[in-house]
Amino acid sequence: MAIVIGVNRTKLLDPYGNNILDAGTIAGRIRCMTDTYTAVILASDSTISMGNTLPKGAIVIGGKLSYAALGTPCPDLTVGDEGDSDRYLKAVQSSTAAVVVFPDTAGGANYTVTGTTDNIIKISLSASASGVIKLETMYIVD
Amino acid sequence: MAIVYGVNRTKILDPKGNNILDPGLVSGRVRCITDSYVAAALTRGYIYIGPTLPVGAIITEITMTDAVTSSNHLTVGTSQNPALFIAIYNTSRNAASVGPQTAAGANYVVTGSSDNCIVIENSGNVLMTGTIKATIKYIVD
Repeated sequence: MAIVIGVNRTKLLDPYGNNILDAGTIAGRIRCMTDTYTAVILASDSTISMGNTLPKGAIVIGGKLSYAALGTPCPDLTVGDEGDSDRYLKAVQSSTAAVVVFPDTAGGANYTVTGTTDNIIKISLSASASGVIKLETMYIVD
Repeated sequence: MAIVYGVNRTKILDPKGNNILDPGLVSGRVRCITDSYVAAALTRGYIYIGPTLPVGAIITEITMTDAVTSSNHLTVGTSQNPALFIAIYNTSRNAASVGPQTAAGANYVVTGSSDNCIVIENSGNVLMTGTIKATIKYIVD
């Protein structure tokens, strides 16, 4: 039977040089960013930028996307950024109002912002939409 | 129709002696640990993640996500009780699994007795390959 240790715990047990963890990795303070957008016949394939620009090094630990029924033709929504439109949440249908927790992808779990094309959270819509969309994003900086 | 009070609200309404609540029980600051493990044909066993938690820490949430290619059955808990927080986590689910999913694990207070490090157990006999990630939220003060 194996007993192994996570990447960060390994560094904690041998804390020198490159093993010194970034601020926030252990006992990080959670910050929360909320934003809302009310779509009125928003065009197909639109993106909605939400909230403030995340600092380089921020770790996005998750959040919630909530939306009303966004009308016909019922767009799919994804949550990501310019670099990866569904980094945090793969396509969800908006035929009925819902609250969806993200991330639902391993790549988006505990994602560290590099500051290139990933520091603004964006919601992408596959078709035109009308209705209220809300996003809560939790992240760690320190 | 009854109107009753929770354990802590009862103490808040009568704040004297033993009713003085521990730090963090009311308006506690949430802290977060992130960790990951890259498994390569990992046999049945345990993965220890994150730091040693202080006695009195309250675990409020654990989220598991994976990019594991094998079909494994994991549990999340402590070395004392490896299924304390999540009793069944099947890999390759392409969705986050949020715990605690057990009554015993809800708002669990760390005692310091074999429970101050989060443990993921690969409880089956299938070798595990791929990355797992964990996010742990807890309160100290």
